[in-house]
Amino acid sequence: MSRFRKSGSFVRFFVEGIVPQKDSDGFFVAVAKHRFKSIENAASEETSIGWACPSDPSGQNFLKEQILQDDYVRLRIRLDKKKLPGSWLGIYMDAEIKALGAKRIKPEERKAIKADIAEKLLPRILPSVRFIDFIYDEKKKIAYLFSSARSVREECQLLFFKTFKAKLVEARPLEVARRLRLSADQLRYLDKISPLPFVKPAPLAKPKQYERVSSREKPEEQVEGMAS
Amino acid sequence: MSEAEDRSFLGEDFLTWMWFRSETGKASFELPGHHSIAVMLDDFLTFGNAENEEMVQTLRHGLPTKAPEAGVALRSGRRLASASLIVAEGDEQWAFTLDARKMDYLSVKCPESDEDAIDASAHGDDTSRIQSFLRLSEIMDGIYRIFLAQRLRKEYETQTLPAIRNWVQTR
Repeated sequence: MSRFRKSGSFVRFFVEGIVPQKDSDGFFVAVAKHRFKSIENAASEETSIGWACPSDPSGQNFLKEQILQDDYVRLRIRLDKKKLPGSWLGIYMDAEIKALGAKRIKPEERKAIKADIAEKLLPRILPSVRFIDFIYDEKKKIAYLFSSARSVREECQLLFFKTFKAKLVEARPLEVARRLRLSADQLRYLDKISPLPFVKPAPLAKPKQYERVSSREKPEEQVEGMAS
Repeated sequence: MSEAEDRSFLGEDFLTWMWFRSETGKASFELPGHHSIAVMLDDFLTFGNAENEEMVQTLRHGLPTKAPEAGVALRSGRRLASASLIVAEGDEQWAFTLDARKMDYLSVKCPESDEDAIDASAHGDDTSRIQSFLRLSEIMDGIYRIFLAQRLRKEYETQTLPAIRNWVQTR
């Protein structure tokens, strides 16, 4: 089993909703239902995301003794992406067009050639693989995702919701504050506070005093304009 | 959601408050169930919010908290958006960058456990490593609670805020 990381980034989520008890069959059935499914032999551009056990990257086995640790659950999210590399597509496209002997081809023909190439190449291309550690603290109802990428967070929130029908709420300053057992007064204050600058605002300048200008002192052009 | 609605400025206030505390000799915190916790800002500071298309100013390496640019940024009203921090409890020390608006923990380096020091190739119980990450977030929540206790009271504007403003002006 790969060891847990010593360093790296993480973000936190608060769990909203009911998640089956971590050692219950319901928990493991839900996880297994959304386990990682391989796209190794897929013949189209695809993404696959699902749960995996720390010791089994295939997503086939979920061993309780590895997943359940003290008060928390340790899982991994496996995220595979299969994409046709642009450079390979370019090489094959050029060869196909040359073989046709045509100088110019219609867009629909180009699309058909591209589809043929993709069908031929994609089963031979291995997807990119990514593992993201995921810890769920059942007592505190906090989940820790060991990646800070926006796309990974969103994928994780979706996977968690599909698995347990419970929501992962990002632990932003307001959400963290609301869960810190503040007093009623503090919570009331929290609802109405606004940002305050750390620089003392400059005192307002006194309004300028304008002198009254008599009609005789009006600028020349204005007088001329009136005359015309 | 606007900045005022999501209160993301609270994260920035929290970071600046820790900076203020660390430079005014009050960077030690007593949290229930923990030894005394010390916090200091390290070698990375970012001012400004890129998401609001504000100009972002980054100071890194050396002692950016002592750099004149940091003082100028604060005095011109720029807000500290992220900073690398060192948090110490007893012999243990965590180094990481806190993205204040999102409360994300970036590039966290956990303390070396005894187990790691004895046998780096040991496989098996990862509990101490996981606990180390969880403890860091627990400690930071504790310090954030102390900050909120000051920030969410009427006296903040008459006591703490003037002290921070004075520090900004005179540092």
